[in-house]
Amino acid sequence: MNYYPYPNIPVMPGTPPKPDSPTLDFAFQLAHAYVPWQNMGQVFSPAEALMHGTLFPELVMPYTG
Amino acid sequence: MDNSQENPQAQKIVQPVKADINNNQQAMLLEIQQLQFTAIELNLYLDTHPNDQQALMAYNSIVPQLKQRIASYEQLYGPLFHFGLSTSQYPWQWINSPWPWDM
Amino acid sequence: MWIYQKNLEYPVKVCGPNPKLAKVIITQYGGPDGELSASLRYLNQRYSMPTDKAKGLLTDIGTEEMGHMEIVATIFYKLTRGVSPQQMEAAGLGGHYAQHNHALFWNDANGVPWVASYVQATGDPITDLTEDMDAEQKARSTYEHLIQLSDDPLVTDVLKFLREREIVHFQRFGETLNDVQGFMNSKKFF
Repeated sequence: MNYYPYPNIPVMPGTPPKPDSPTLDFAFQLAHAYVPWQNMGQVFSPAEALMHGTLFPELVMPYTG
Repeated sequence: MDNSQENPQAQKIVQPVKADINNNQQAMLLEIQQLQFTAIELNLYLDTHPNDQQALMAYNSIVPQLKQRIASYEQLYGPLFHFGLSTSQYPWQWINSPWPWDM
Repeated sequence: MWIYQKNLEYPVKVCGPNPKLAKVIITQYGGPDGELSASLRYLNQRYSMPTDKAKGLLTDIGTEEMGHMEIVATIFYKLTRGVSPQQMEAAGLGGHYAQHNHALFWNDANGVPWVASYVQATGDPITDLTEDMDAEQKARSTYEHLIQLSDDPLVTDVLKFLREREIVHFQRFGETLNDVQGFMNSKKFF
């Protein structure tokens, strides 16, 4: 793979939502679903992106059977 | 899949799908597919991260590259778009084969 | 308005005719967790979304899913091209041939036709976005089953691409759910 490792750590539970979100005093609530925010870092070349099915290395989750 | 159970009739189907277009067309299309896929990915990312300047710059830098590849392709193989987004040489080229499912 | 672009999102090649594989792959065309369901679900849910981000995302993913429907259609078309009625019958596509010849039709792997009740629109954005995430997972599972069933490496390659798209879409719907939940909460205090 032709990309550099980079510190792209998804925002995990306990951290506030993205800066443009309307709620700054964010608290996780019971009975709600959340997905960690992705922060774009280094990305694949266009050719590699199409091959992987995503531009983002951190979202490559191949099926291993 | 268990191929030992393959029915014998299926074995007779051997005629490969005919690749009836030249390779240069497919190669040029592949470059368009790669650039456009990059644009799709950035577009979806920007939908949920509209304030990400890095992603926006990447998106905006893909657009002219994609447009240039499309223009080169259309020069040789005719319009990729209908409804006023591409011009055609004479006679009307939009209806020309191969259609995407025959490539 | 929609504009057609005269190429697939991802190139589709097959090793040769394979009606047996076509019979199971058709479920991603017109089955419950297929691409028709996906595109219509998202494009129909847009109208009751409360935020511009959600309207944009549903428009864009719904549009991409139409492209995926075209990819699945192309796989079926190529796998059945030139296949005789007897070969269709032997592969379990006798019923398909009787009703549709070599034409495409929206049904699942067992020939059950598509129905609108595969999709929902409750008008509640939390509920609808949760359904969308659920739909992406069901489609991912189905692509994994199809990868297991595939004996054509070129088709498997396309199935892997489509499976990965479900993962990316799940991430985007999840982010949109985060955002919409924040939006709904903020409304409670004004």
